[in-house]
Amino acid sequence: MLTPSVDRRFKRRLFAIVILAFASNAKAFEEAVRRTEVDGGIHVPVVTKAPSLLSSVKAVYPSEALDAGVQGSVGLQVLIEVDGGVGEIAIVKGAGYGFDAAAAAAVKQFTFSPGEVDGVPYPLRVGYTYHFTLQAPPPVVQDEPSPATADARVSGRITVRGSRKRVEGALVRCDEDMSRESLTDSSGAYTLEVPHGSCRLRASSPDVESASVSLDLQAGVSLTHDFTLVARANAFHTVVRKERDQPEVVDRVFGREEAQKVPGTFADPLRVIQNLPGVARPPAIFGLLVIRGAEPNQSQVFFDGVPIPILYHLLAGPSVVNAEFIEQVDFYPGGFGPSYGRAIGGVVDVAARVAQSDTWHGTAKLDPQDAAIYASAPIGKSVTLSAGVRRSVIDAILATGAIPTGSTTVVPAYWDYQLRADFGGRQGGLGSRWSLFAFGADDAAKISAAASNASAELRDAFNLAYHTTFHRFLATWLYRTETSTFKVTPYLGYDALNAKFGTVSAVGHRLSIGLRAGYTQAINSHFTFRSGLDLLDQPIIADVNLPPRKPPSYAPFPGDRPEIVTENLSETFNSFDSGLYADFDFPVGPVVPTLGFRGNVAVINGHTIASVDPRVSVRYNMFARTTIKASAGLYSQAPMSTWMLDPPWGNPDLVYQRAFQTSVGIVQRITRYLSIDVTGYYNRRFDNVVLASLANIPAGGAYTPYANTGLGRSYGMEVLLRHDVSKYFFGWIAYTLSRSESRVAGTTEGYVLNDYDQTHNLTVVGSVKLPRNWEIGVRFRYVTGNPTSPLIYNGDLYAADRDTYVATYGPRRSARVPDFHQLDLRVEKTWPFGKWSLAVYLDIQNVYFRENVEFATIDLRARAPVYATGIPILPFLGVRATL
Amino acid sequence: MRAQVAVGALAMVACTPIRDPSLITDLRVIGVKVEPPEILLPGCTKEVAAALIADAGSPATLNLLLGSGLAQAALQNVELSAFIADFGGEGRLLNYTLRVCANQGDIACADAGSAAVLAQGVTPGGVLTLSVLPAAKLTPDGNSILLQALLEDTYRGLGGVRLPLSLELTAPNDGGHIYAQKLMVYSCKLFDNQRANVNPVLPGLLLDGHPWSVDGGTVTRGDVTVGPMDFRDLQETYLVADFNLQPISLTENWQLTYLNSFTAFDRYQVGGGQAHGDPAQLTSVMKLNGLPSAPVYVMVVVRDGRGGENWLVRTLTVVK
Repeated sequence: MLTPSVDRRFKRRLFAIVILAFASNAKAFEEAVRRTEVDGGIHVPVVTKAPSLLSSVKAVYPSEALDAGVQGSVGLQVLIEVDGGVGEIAIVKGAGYGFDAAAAAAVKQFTFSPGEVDGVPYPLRVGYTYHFTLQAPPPVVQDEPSPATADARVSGRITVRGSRKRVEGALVRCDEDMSRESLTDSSGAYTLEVPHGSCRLRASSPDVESASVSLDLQAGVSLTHDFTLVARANAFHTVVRKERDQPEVVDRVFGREEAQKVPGTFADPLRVIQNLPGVARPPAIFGLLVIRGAEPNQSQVFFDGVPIPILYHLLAGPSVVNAEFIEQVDFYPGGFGPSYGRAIGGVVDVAARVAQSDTWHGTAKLDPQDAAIYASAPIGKSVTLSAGVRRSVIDAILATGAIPTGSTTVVPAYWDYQLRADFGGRQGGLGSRWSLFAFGADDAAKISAAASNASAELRDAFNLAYHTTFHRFLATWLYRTETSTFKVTPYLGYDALNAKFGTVSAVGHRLSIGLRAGYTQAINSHFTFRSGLDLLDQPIIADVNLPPRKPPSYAPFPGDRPEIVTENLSETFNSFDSGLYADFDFPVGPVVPTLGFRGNVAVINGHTIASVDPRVSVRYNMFARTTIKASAGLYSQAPMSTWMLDPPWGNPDLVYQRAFQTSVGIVQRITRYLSIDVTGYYNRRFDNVVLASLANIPAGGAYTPYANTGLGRSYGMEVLLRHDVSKYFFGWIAYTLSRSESRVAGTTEGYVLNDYDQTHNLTVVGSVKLPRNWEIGVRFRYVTGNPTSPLIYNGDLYAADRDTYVATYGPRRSARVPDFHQLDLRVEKTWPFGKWSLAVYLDIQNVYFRENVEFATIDLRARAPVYATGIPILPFLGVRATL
Repeated sequence: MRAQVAVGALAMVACTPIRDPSLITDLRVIGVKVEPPEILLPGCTKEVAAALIADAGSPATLNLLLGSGLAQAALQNVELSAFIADFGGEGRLLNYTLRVCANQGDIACADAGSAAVLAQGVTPGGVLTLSVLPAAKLTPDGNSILLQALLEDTYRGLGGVRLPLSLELTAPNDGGHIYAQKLMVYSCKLFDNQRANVNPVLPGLLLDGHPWSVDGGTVTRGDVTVGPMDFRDLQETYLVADFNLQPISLTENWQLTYLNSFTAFDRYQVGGGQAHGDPAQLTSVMKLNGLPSAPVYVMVVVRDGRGGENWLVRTLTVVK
């Protein structure tokens, strides 16, 4: 008769499993938090203490299983709360027969010492497997046989099917002999010493599906057996990030895998940002970021902490960073901490992907838009290299004559590259780490037109040539102790712009010489202090040919077009912008206020301006699943150096553009996967630089085309109902109710709506994993139409001297173009092979062919608006191979 | 970022079907000229001009202005001609009203308080010519419209007092309603060698590189290139006063507008001093794919950039 028993080495195995599970998840967590570090390393959250098991409770063997004589293993995910207690338990892999409930009931009574991040207790979710085994009753025979001698050896490697990824920390054992088990190392290798004879070799890991094989082992013989196992479907993220210790009140984080699956984004993670609350929908062809009503150039984009001039390639192109090189995207629509500067709108911080250290990997992708490859490899034990490159394809396709006769289009051609080397210890570990990182992008646009009617006029009119390039090179040194982190990143950049429109041309070269340094000190288990320095010098060498930008020296005749004499401006000007910042967390019970400031000093073309931005944020962990958050602060952004040239080209008296941002919100985790974030905000912008009217010539004063007279205000509510990545599904519903307005001080006109004011902005995203490696995703968007000025027509108003028709408008931006709505679909099928996989994806934009208005103009005679509609239904077939 | 937006906007426009402006399909006014286009006022000296700039509305300035004989000099008849394209009108009569007003921004001269009617009547399509005396007109309040235009001018008459003439056309059936504005220029003669502007005259047109007779031309179907005969030597050099009343010498840069009654030109406006485009590109191509049932009217309107305007009309027969 069988009797239930938990193995006598229960605690030892339990501890080992917890540590194994944690090792895997802690690594993921460390990786995740590292990637969210603020540029300059002001705060680099790191796991400073792993949770450890203090006490356990033996599970009751279910009678149903006992009667059936079955054994089982239950895979669980356990939330270890900040007090060491066990919170939410989820069954990852059930075993039936009552095992699931029994395992959960036992684990619920475990106690742990809590894990810590940056010395602060953190709730951490760990994987855990509970084994139920049946043991025979003690044998009647008194003479117990001596244990068999381990005289055979089995070794091998465990890899993930369809890739070259090694599985670290997998458990390999022969039969159920707990004394004959081994863990795979970082290269996925294992070695097992066992007695000869038959052996059922079993491999299991939280990251892959388990597998077993029967072997016949000979004495004194070494046998090699490799496992190629199927990855678990939900191996995206296993970490709860709700308690992220950052002063940012609203931080929306998306991992690469999740972001690449969003329909309508062509597998571009950075396009996911355009589907989040607080982000207006720009015209499809513009790669603009309009965040909480701010102008596009009032938000900043960082790549690995370094500002980059553009986020997207030209004309609806992808982001300037190869998707395979993006690990994570952090999006701060407002209320961000003082480590971020030079922005009065929002901030996007893109973390680069660090190469995996197990073996080399690669990805190749081809679709009608571009072709890209990515490769990474470890060099020795402490160095990893990774590289990516991408080149547009669409220009080559169009060059073959794909443009239909009679049409004209602007064809983008682009490439980008990334090259990175990391040195030193493992991610998140103590001690020093270094990295070198170079990346850049190049964009060119040219009009491509078949010989046809109308196209010649457009070609003449635009006579377009546009070419822009940027490169960045940064070196990072990160030094971490148990209680402190220091990170310094010097970087260099080069930007070039060559633009020509008819007789107007501009050639510009800009250097960026920057340094970011950040220091974080955990004073004790509660208080954390952060400070840093952010320096950026940007000399510009410009050579432009422009029509005189000044009031003419004579009274012009309407329609007057004498011979154009452009003025050449060849000049070197400089912008040095510096920021010194600090903030301090001082938790009071569940309330965590963070006080900070950022001091800004800029020297632009020899003119010094300064500002101080105090910022405060508060997080109140009201309940275990409920957090209240609020923030308020000032933000500054220096004028562009080209705006501060001497008159008549600029205004050297400009000062910092400013904004006062406030927000308050609540984050409620509803279930393990489901959470809701509701945030209200009010932003007030002032001293914004606006273009002065040529008619406003000051009496007796020099004409200055720019002035700090722009005012703006935005307010609204953002809702994000999000389902995290689970085994079968991820998605979210993002809704923004907002209003953004602006006006110019000193004028009689009151506030008018901004160009991209969109009262309602709703995005619904969902992606489902299906059997046989199919995935289907949908995205639906509904957005209020952009403001426009109503056209009033009571007959042609023809100005014969100018040969133009004059339009009459109603109140500025008092009407709207028709609302936008669109459904996108994505289908992906993956074929995993031995060490590589092949994925084919079909991205279909605008499934039901809605003719959305992207751009509004008027007809020649100003009689009626003319709407340029966006893309028609657009299927996009791509293929991706992953090694 | 702004450059990106500009390129994006261009792409958006480039991809947008735009109704071709060079094809005349319904009632339009395609050109308005006055003869002469500019009247010089000999009595308006630098002293008068300086007083106008300093304080145009003061009684002293007004006395100086009246004493200069400006008003008397302005009292000359001018001949206004409007080219009214109404190819589909089948000779219908259009109602017209010609007004003068003080505000350049009032294309329709809709502000009755500062406008007066110069002529009224009916006309068929084609060239409507009216002889009028706009400088003599008074507002309903009895004020000189010319003087009011001077006072409302941002530049106080520097570069000429621009007196708006507005031709209103209404079609009896289809509701076509057009206001076409032409500015009549009255300039102070500040420099001895300053001459009044004259309307530009194109020496002729070329059809596929050959002189195009006023009697018409014949072409086969396909692409047909239309261009002007060389007019470079006809572009005048002229003087204007800068804000310090010193002479500035400028050179005209004529702009051509291509229109026709059957198909589209690939270029609508060429030449001129616009910052975009190629100033040397002066020809335009029309694609004659079909066979028109009637002769094609081709119209080229020329503008000298300072109020002078003119046009040439040719006919074209298309054969297989």
